[in-house]
Amino acid sequence: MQFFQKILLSFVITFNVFAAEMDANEIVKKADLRRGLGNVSHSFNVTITNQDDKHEVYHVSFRDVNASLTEQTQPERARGRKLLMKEYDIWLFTPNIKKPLRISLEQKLTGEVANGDIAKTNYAEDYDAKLLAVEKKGNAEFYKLELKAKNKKVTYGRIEYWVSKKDFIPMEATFFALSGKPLKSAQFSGHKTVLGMSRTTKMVISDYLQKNKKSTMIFSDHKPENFNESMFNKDRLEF
Amino acid sequence: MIKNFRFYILSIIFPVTSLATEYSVRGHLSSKANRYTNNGTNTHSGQNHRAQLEQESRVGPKLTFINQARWSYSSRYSDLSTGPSFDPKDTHKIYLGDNYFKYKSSDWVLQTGYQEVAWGEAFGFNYADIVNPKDLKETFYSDYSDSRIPLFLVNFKYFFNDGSLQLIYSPESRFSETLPIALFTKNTLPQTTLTTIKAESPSFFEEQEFGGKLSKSIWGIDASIFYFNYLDREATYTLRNATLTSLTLDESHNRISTTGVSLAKTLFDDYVFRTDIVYTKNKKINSILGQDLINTTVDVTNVLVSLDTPTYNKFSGVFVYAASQLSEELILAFKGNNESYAIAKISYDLGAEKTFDLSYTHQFDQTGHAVQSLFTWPVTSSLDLKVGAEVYWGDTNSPLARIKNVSNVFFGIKNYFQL
Repeated sequence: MQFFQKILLSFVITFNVFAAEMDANEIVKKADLRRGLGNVSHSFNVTITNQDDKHEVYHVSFRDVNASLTEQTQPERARGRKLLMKEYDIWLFTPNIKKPLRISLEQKLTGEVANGDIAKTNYAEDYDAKLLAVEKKGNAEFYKLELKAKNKKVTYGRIEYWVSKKDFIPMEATFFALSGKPLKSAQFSGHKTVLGMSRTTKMVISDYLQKNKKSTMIFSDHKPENFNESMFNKDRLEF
Repeated sequence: MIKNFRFYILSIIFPVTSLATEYSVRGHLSSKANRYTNNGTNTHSGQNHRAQLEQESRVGPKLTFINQARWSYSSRYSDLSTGPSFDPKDTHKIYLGDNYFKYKSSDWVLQTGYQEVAWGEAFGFNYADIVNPKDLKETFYSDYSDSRIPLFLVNFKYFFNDGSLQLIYSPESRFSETLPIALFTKNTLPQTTLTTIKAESPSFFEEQEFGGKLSKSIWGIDASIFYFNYLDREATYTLRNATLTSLTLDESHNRISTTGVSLAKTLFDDYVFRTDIVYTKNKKINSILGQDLINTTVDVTNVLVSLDTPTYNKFSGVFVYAASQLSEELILAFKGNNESYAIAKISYDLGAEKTFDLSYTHQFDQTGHAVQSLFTWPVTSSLDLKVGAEVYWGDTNSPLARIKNVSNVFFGIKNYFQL
């Protein structure tokens, strides 16, 4: 009987460890919360510095993964430029064109940054995750995950994603196109306590082949906020 | 009357700015130098300078006032003066740009004053961009952001789930500034001096313009239908008097109505398809019958389809087909009975926000061609540099070939500032 109990216990423990290690989607969900406030209505600012040291500032109103509005506030030439994302549809408004235009999600926003890098940052909603390995660098252990797009409308076809095993803080990512071609890589850093939780506030995106081509994104001023539904209406972008 | 009305608007707006909770002043200065050629036999230089000053005053989260003053000096079409009767070559003007107040509620917006309203989905030929008059003197490829002339409008928009209903009303008609009529008659009346008597804009409330647009996004398609009843932005001409060598023409603008449909849809994830179908009723078109200048009332159907390719590669493109057809065949008309165009525009991303655009326009029927290139370089966060060239050629009856003597190279800078 004791032998059976031991066998059963060892199965239970192994299963639990296996389950904990293998629940990749849960890891991604927890990592998402370390990069932003997750899928709750809030606003934040993003400052992007490209390789030529030009700064761009965006204010993001994020209702949930299905709706976000990004408005550029700097530099002056691009002030008032807006990007509205609703589910997998995206529209661009520029003050000189004066009408909202449907564009594609992968359209480059600036430097190495795609539209989706700002407004579609909840990987758990858009990708199916698979745990590839648990890797060790120094004393720290990382989950190495493979994220595959749930459909063809997301920003990237596949992401290789490294997340700290200890606290689920994202460390690195490599982004691939739907064709499988590696596009760019990202490093997450700038850990700060934001609304009671340690989160990364800096993301450096570099071209996969030309590493000197890079853009640095600094996320700040996270604030829970409720928005009126009409704010995410494309016909309101001009006002 | 008009001047008084504008004065009243400004006298209301300026005191309100003192109540503003947020206030900012910004603007831009731009200069452009052109070198024109006329088949290599003549060359002319032209220049264009613009300045815009804008103040934005926010009174709480819902009420905003925008006031713009614009200045422009242009001698860009001086190269057209190859005939004796063309319009004055240089223009210098100071005028009010956008001047309006905007009240935003959660479900609706009311914007009243001088403003720009852009309809339609497509580029290349803005057939659906019918509300504002335009300054169309700067060649075939006028940038509509620069060329739209603000119109006084009461502009109301109500938002509902993934859609909106917009109603507009204007008590003041304004007209486009177009290329000299002699461009259209030089083939048929080459030795004749033409003098045009400009039509005055009607006074406030003398003519009413009205229309609306219903938009809805459904199944991944942006769809809108629109209607506008207005005075034709382009003039038609009637003969006032004639001698053996000269004609004096009166400009007039008759009432027309335009109905249209616009659609946009993302295809294959990364391509965007756009179309505008626009039908204009009761447009008057000039033509020459024998020695007489006549005008005929026709309906005009314009159709445009375009496809944008993905922009995440170094190269991206826009391909456009546009066609315009009159309901009646006219001989020696100022506008072709069937005009159709294909445009291919390729953009190359040079990195660091620098781009190079190359576009080719082909006109079918009368076989006209145009090539335009543009290099854009945001040198600093507040300074843009543009260098480009445009050339036109083809059959002498083609609308493209008619303006071939404005083929030019240009250099431009634009500086943005905030005070």
